[in-house]
Amino acid sequence: MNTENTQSQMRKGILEFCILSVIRHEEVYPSEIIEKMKAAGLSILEGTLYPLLTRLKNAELLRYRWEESPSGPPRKYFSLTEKGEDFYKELQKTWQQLSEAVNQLTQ
Amino acid sequence: MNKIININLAGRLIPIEEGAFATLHQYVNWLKQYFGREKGGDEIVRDMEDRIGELFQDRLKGGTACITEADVQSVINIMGSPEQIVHEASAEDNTDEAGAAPEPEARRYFEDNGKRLTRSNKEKVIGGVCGGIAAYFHIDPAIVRVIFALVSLTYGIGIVIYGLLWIVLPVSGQTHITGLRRRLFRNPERKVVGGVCSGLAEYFHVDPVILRLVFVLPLLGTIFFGAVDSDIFFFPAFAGGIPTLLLLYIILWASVPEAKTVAEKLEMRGTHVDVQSLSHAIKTEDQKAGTGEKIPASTGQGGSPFRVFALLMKVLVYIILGFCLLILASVLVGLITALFGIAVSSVYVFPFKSLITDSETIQWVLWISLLVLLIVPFYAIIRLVVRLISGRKYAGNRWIHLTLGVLFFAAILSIISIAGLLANDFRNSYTTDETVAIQQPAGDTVIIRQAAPGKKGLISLRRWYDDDDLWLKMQNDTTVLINNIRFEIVPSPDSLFHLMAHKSAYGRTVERARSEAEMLDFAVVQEGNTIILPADMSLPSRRPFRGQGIRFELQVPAGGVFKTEGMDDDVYDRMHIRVGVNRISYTINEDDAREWKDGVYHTMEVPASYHSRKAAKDKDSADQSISY
Repeated sequence: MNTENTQSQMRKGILEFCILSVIRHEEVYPSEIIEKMKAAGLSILEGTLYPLLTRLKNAELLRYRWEESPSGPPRKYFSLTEKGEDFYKELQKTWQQLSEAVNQLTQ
Repeated sequence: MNKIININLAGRLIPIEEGAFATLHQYVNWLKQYFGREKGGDEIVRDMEDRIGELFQDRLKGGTACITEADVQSVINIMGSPEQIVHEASAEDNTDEAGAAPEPEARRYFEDNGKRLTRSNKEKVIGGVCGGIAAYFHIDPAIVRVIFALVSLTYGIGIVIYGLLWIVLPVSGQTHITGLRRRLFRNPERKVVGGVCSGLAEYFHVDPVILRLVFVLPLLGTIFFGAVDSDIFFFPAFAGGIPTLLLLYIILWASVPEAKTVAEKLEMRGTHVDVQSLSHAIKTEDQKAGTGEKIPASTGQGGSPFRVFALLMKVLVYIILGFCLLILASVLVGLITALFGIAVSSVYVFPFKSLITDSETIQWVLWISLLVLLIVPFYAIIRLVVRLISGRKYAGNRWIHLTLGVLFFAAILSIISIAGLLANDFRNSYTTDETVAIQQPAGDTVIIRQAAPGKKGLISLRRWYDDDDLWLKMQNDTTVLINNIRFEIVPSPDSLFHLMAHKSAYGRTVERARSEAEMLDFAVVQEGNTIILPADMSLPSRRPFRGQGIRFELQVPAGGVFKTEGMDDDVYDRMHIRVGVNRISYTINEDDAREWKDGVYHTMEVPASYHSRKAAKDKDSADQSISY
């Protein structure tokens, strides 16, 4: 069994949830998301984030709007749709169940 | 030397080395190809290009003249090299062309225990029972704890229930209580004292006045019942009335948090907290601050008569609740009150400390021990109750607890040993025999009275087995009066009246007892035929109480007439006349003890056998101790 593979699986599982959390908190643009996640201790590749954002948007869980940026071309600011909000709540529940189960098992 | 070219990268002008551009171009092509399969792949690549451009621009702003190969490599690392992207992506097996939508058939990874009543592993102070119940009913765990604490105060029923639940309920870690609609807070906006009543009122959606009534009623009840002097069933409850609910109020004040933030205030009222209600609340707060108006606490229910009725019902329910609280809490508070009483009385008694012992050391040890004996359990009980209610774990310092426990134990030990020492002081007794000079009354008739005692009574010791009423009084700072006066009437060995005084006291040794006894002072007054005995005697200053007493013995000759005035054999009276079989020959027949009548003249009749019997008895009784 490849440790890296398992570790990556673990991360992969919660990435969506984390990204949605960041966006839910406030409207953000992609590199802001990466910064915030890094600040929290999760590092994510831009090459992983962008596809994910696009997929979520295509699934109508996210929406974005363009906003002029002081330094260069306009940026995409992402926010959750209502569907996204529901989806998020589901993930939240799952996360709680998961984390408590894991905490209990690993005590 | 690389040629520098300018490229347009997502709207940005980037000067870049030719070689570096080649690498970049290769990367971007790979991205296009890789994400081309996906729906929206174009957009993905576009966004990534945009980001790359941003990163390049940052570097250019930083000072470099143009983008080099190294720059491109580092940017590729930031974005993710093809290997990394593939690696990350390969770990996916769910999110593919179908998009990020969740699977249609809900795959169950976890047991959903939401509907079962469980104990909570997360929200627990002791066993998580309250937390589990709170999660099941979706209420504030603090409320559940308060209820349990109160129910526990009725002879520990709550503890039994809690124990049962602890055994029966399974543990679950999933009882996370999120988004409680209503939580118990103290309301700082409408508070009279501490906002406890207001907060409770908000929680139950009642008028806070009702709750204030609930807290105050038992206070009135106590005063009322106290005035009636009850041995009623409720007595323990109402005796604890004032401290009960006062204590409850204080405990709630300490453990229930105050609603400070706007969100908390919303939670307190049971309004769902979200962005809209929050911003609305904030606006209202600002308005309120400006105009000084208050936010109404409870919503009206349409229809005036219905509302009145509902209100009355609520009042009734909460009054009953209040009484229940009162009764339930009385056990605990009775304990606290008892301890409190000891403290208070020891403060009271402290001026009497010299009565207990004449040793200063012992006095101080006793005093300190009493204090410790009070404070430690008091503190422990309060802490326990507050913990139960709030679920908060006080930072309990191990060392403090250890010290308190040791102190408590030491206090108990020292009190026991002091008691032992004191008991020792009562081992021996001594009685003196003194003759009090009296004039022979004219006409062989004597009247005996007792002086009226002073008004300043303080402590009363009642010994039930003897129906005596022995009390101590402080006449001034140094003098103590005891009413341990006894009086007997016996036949005189000759034809004259005699008055004997037998002073007695206890002591560790007979000598000490004797010296204590001899120190006693009294005054007998005679006015004509009337002899007035003292109501009490004064302890010599600063002598401890050692069962000192005086027994007066009036010897009446045969045929002499005597009567007492104002001395009945009443439990509450100051003197006690022993009309015992052995004492007054007045009873000719030993089985037929005549009742003593006060205010009536009696004639001393002595049967012939009396003196011989008495001589025999006197020989038998070598023991000089006075029986009380």
